[in-house]
Amino acid sequence: MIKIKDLTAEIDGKQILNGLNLEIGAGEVHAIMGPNGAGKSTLSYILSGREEYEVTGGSIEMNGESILEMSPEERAAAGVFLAFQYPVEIPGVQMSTFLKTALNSVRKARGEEELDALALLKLMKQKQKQIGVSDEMLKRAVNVGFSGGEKKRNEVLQMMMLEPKFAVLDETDSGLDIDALKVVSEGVNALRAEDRSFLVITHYQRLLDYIKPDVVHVLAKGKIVKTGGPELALDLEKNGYAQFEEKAA
Amino acid sequence: MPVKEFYTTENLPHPKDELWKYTNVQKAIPKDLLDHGIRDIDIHVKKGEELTKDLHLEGQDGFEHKIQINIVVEENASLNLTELYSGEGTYFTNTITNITLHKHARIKHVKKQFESSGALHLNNTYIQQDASSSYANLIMNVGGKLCRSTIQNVMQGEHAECKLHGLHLLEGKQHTDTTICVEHQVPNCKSEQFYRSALKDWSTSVFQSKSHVFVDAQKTDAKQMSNALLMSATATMHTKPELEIYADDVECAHGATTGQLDETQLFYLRARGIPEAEAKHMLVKAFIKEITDQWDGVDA
Repeated sequence: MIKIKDLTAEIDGKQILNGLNLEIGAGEVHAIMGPNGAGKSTLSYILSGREEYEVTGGSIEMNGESILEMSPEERAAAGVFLAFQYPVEIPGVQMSTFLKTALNSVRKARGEEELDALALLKLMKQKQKQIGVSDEMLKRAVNVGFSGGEKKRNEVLQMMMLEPKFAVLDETDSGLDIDALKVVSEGVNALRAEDRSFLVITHYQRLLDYIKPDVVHVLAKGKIVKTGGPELALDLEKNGYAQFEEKAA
Repeated sequence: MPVKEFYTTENLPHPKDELWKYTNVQKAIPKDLLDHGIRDIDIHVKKGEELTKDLHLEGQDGFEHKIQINIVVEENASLNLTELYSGEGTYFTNTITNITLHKHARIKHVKKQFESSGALHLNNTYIQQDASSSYANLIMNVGGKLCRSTIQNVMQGEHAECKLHGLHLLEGKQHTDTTICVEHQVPNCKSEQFYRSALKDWSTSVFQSKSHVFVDAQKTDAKQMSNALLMSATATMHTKPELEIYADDVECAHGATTGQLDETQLFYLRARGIPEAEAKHMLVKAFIKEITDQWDGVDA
């Protein structure tokens, strides 16, 4: 599904990714763990097409096709979804308008029929109920005045609406209390499917108790330094990242 | 001083004049225009009465239109006025608006400047407010090649209130200039200015505004805010908020920002599949919405 080969990237002339290799099969959930500054967020932004990050080498393929030349909106239409670590506040744009515009843009690009207001509302109601987003939240401006937990729930709601093929969750656990973590994880787990892959980026093992990964990778100094099963996360929790940072250097 | 005389090519201020330095109107006056004569419009709302009025003023290709609007709203009376300017071709709309509000009078005034792309629009508005009167306006500058609006407000009665809102949505080589002077001559008056400009291409916009607080005008509350969004590297905003304060117990504030669309917001929308052009459009709409929301909250 996703094949990342020898990826190098920089921002403002500073090299962040140093030859990253990663392959995620269809239906798999991979976790990337790593210390601060390892390049976790950079990877998530590069996968979703943020222009400030410059890819200087390597390739990213999705189902055999390079996505590097695609704009963020083209990637979204192709099925890439990034759940932001810091969901962005957009005053003046109502949540429901945002969701409608996003879903219909993606449907249009995918060659599907756009949904009318009623069909959208029905779909939105059904999804928001699952993830515990209130009607009142949908009347507010995008992420404005949302608590940390509400913001993350909102990310998962968007994911449920857009039904991506490949979802990247960037530290979705940060800022969440245990109850919110459960709700968000249940939302993600409900989306697990044979034709959908996930990349879960996290600093802590805790999230992986709820979203069980098939494969765990350790990212340090811009490349994958170790790959293993779920037990690797437990080992990291116990022994920390220092061992890998030395190795990467 | 009330503006009594229409500006003509001969008596137009030169850009060397401080208040006209960003806008060369002399140069912009189309040549060989035919004089359409002066049109007088009188709106008089008698004591205690309420009036809603719509004016649609159309420009004709090749003409200079002189329009003088005299508005008097008597005690406890109210006026809801909408002016719409539009037209075709190259012409010059030259307007003077004299507004007098008596005690407890109220005016809610919308001006939609949707002139043709070849038009020159010049307006001088002179407002006089008596005690406890309230004047609110919203000026939408969307059309015209060049538009210059001067607003002078003299607050002569205590507890008068004046709220000026403006939206400039420009593209191509459009230019707008808003020059405001609010005189707080007496105590306990309140004035607010809230302007937003979204500028594309090579367009330019000017916001220069002075709040003049006289020595007796204690407890004055005067605020100015201008926010500009530059949508291209070649758009320009000139902002000059000014306070001239002689009283010592006042609350005055001014602020101005000029910036670009927030890249993070833009990326967030695009990452959800919304095409760049539409995402930008959504953000500009959101930028404007704060003005229109505030305007919707103004009592008629």
